[in-house]
Amino acid sequence: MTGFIIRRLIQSSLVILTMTVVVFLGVYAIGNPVDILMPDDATAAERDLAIKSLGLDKPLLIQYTTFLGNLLHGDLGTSFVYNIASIDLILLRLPATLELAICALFIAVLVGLPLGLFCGLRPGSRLDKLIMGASIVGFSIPNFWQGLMLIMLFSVILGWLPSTGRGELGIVFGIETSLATLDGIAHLLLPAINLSLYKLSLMIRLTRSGVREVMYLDYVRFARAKGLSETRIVTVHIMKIVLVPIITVLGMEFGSLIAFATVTETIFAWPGMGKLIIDSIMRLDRPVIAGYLVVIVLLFVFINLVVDITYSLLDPRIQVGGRSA
Amino acid sequence: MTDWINYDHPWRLAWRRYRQSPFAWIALIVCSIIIFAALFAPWLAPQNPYDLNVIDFFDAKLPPGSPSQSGFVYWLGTDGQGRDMLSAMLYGLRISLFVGVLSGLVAILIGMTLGMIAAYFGGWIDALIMRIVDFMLGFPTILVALMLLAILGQGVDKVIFALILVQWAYFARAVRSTALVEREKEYVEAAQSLGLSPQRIMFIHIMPNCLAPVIVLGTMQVASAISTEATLSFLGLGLPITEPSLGLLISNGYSNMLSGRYWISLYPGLLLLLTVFSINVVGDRLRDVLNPRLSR
Amino acid sequence: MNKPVLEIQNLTTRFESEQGIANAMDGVSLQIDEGEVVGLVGESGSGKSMTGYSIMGLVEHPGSIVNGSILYRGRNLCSLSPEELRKLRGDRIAMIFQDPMMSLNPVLRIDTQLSETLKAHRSIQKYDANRRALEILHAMGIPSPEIRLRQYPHELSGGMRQRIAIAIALLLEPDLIIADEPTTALDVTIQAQIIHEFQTLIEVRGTSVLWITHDLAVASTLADRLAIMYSGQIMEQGPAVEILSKPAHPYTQGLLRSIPSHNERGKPLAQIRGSAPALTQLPPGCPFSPRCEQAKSLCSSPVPTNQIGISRSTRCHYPTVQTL
Repeated sequence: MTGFIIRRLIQSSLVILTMTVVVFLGVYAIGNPVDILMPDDATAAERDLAIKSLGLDKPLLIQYTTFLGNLLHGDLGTSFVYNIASIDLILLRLPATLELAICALFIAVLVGLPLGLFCGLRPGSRLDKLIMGASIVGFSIPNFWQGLMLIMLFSVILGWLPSTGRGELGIVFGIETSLATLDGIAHLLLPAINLSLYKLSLMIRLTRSGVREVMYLDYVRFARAKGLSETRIVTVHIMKIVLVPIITVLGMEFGSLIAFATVTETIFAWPGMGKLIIDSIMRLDRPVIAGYLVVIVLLFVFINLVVDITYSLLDPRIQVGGRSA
Repeated sequence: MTDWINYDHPWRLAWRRYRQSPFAWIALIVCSIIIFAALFAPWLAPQNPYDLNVIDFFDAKLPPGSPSQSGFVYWLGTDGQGRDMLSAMLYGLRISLFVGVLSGLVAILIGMTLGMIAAYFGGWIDALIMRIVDFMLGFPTILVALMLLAILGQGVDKVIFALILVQWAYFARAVRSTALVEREKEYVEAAQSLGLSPQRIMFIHIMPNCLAPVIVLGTMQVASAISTEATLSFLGLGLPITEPSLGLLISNGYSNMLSGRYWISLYPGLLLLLTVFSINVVGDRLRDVLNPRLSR
Repeated sequence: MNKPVLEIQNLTTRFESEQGIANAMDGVSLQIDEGEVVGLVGESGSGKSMTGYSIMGLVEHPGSIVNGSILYRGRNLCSLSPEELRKLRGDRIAMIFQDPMMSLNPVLRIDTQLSETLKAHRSIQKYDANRRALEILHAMGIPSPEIRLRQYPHELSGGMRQRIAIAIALLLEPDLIIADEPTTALDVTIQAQIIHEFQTLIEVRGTSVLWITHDLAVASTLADRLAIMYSGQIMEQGPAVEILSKPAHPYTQGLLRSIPSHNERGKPLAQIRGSAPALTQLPPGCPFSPRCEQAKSLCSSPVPTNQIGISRSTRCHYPTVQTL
C-alpha cells in the first residue's frame, strides 16, 4: 500500500509540474497585461515602471523559475486588481465554494441514490420511466438557465428565498458555515439546488444501471435461495457491490462540481472562487488566474488520490499497485 | 435443424428497435424540426435581427404577442434592442447548432483516429496517447474551456477550437476500448496475414465495428457542446455579440428578469433546453438499442 | 416405504416472450423421498435448472408457474406467500449453484455469508453464529477454517468455494438440497473429491438431494433414482440401477449408447441424430419424435406418463425395455 501511495504521489507531482508550466505559459507569456492596466494615455516611462515593478521585462525562463520558486513558497503573485497576494485572495473565497459544492453533493446523493435504487429494482415500471425521463431533463437543462428560472420562481414570483449573496454565517464544529443560521440556509438553498441538479440526474442513472447490472447476477439469486430477507439483499448484497463504482465516480465528479460552481456563483453572486475567477478573466488579472489554476490542479490531484485509495479499500478484489489476485 | 430467422443487417434491426419507443421517436422528430429550423432560419424568421435597418428601437422590451410597425406580430416579444425574439432565437439556434455540431464532428475525427492508433500499435504510442487523454479527462470540460478562452479571447473559431480540445479525449478513449477488443479478433489476424497495410486494417476493417459507442457518445457530446457553448456565451467568454448564440440571448435578458420581462430569457432558454433534451433522448435511446447486453 | 419429502405434481412453468411461448417445464411430476438422492439428467435447455428454481420459488420474470403443485411435506409451495416461502428457503430446502465464483458475493467475507444465513432463520447471536460456521467447516474437513472464514471468495480455489457453498447449504440441516450442476465448473479431479465428500455428508444426515446434471455418469454414481428430462418433460424416471441397465425410453437408450466407453473400438461413435428443438417451436405430441428412430404416427399426439413398473414411469407411446 505504501508503495502505491508513493508511486501515486510521484505521478501527481509530475502532473502538477506540467500544469505549472502550462499555467505559466498561458497566463504570463501570452499577451501583454500591462496594456490592460494602463490607461491609453500613459507615458512610456510610466509603462516601463509598471513593467519593471511587475517583473514582466525579464526573459521567459527567469520569469518561470521565479514563478516556480515563489510557488513553492506559497506565493502566487499579487493580484493586479486587488493588490493582495493572490493566494490569500483565493483562500479567502475557497470555503464558500467548498461549502456550496459539498451541499450540492449531499443533495445529489441523498435524493439521487434512493431514486436510482428504486428505479433499478423496478425497471420498466411507470415510475421508473417517469424518473428516468425526468433525469434526462435534469442533465439537459443548461445550468445557468435553470439557475435563472429558479430565481424567477422562488425569488421574484414567490418571494420565498433570497436570490443573491451568502447569508449569515455561524460557527459549527469550529468551521464558519452558512448552515448554522436560518438566514444562511435560506441563501444556500437555491444555489445548492442549482449546482446539484446535474449531478442528481447522473446519480439516479448511475445507481439505476448499477443496480440493474447486479440484480440479475447469480449472487443475488443465491442470496434469495438462502432465504435472506429482501431488505438485507438490497441493502447489503446489492448496494455494497453497486457503491464501489458510484463512489469512484462521485469522487471525480466533486472536482467538476467545483468547476461548475463558477456558473452558479456568477448567477447567485455567491462569494466563492468561481465568481473570482470569472471576474479575474474579465479583468485579465493574471496572478489570480494562475493561482486559481494551481489550486484547482492541486485539489483535483488530491481528490483523485483519495478516490483511488478509497476504491481499493472498498473492493477487496482490487489489489492496489497492480498485483493481480 | 437450425432455422435461420430473417437475417437483417444489424443497423436495420437497431433502427427497428429504436422505433419501438414512442418517446424516442418524438424526440427524433423534434430534433429534425430543430435542425430544419436552424438551417432555414433566414427564410423562416420574420425579421433579420442583425439588420439594423429593420429593428425598431422603440419596440424594445415588448411582451409576446405585441404587433410591430411593419405588420407582423412579435410572437415571442422583443428584446432590449427591439429585436424580434423569435427571429433572434432562430438565428441564435443556427449558430449554436453550427458550433456544437462542427466541434463535435472534428473532435470525433481526431479522437477516433488517435484512439485507433493507440489501440492498434500499443506500446509506447498507446501509453503516450492515453497519458494525454487521462490528463485531459482529469479536468472538467467547463474549466478547460474557460481557461482556453481566457487565454485565446473571443471569437467563433476560438470557441470551436476550445470545444474540440475538450471533447476529443472522450472519443479517443471510447474507440480505444472497443478497438482493443476488436484487435484480438480473428478477422484482424486474417487481414494482417494477407499483408494489408495497417491504415487499411485500422480504418476499413476495425473502425466500422467501433462505431456503435461513437454514435452514442457523439450524440450526447454534441448536446453537451451546445450546452457548454451556451454557458460560455452566457458568461461573456464565448461567441461575440456579432454572432449571438442562445447563451448570449439569455445573458442579455438576465437583467430584465428581475423587472418582470421574463420572456427575453425564458424563450431562448426553453429552446436551448428542448434542443439539448431531444438530442440527449435520441442518444440515450441509441445507447439502449446499440448495447447488446441490455435486452431485458 | 419412506415418506416423500417433495412431490412435484404436473408442474408447468411458462415463459412468454417476443419469440413465443416456451414451457420450460411441461407437466412435470417428480417425487423425492426422505434420504433419497434423485438425479435429474438432461441436456442444456431441457428445463432441469428451471425445476430447481421452480421448487425454490426463484422463477424470474418473464417466467411463471402456470399449473400444477409442489408439495413439500404436504404443503403446497405454490400457494404460499412470499414471506412463508422465504422462511423455507435456506432453512428446509437449500440450493447449491453451478459456479461458486458467481454465487458467492465477491465483496463480502466468507463468515458474513455463512452467518447471515443463520441469522435470517434463527434468532442467534453473532458469536454463536460464527461458532456454528466454524463447526460446519470442521465437519466438512476444510483445513484452517478460522482463516477461511476471514477470507474473500476470490482468495479461495474453485473447489474450496464450492465446499463453502455446500457448507452454507448444510448449515441449517435442510430436508432437501437442490444441487444445480455443482461440479460442472470444476476440474475433473476436484469433481470426484467433492462428489465423494458430498455423498458422505448427506448419508450421515439423511438429507434428500435433487442432483441436477447433464452428465449421466456423475448422476449414476450418486443417485438412487434417476429422472431423464428433455424439452421440459420427464421422459423416464425410476430406480437408477434399472434405468441404466434396462432403459425404456428411446431418448435414454440413445444417451446410454452414445457414452464413448460403451463404444466398440473402430466403430463410429453412436449419436442421436439432429438436435433439440427450441422450446418455442416444439413439434406436436412427443418432443423427441423428430429424432426418434422408433417414431410412429401416434407420436404426434400428446404423450401421457405411463407406469411401467413399481416406481418406474416413462413418457412414451411405445416404451420398450431394452437391456444394454
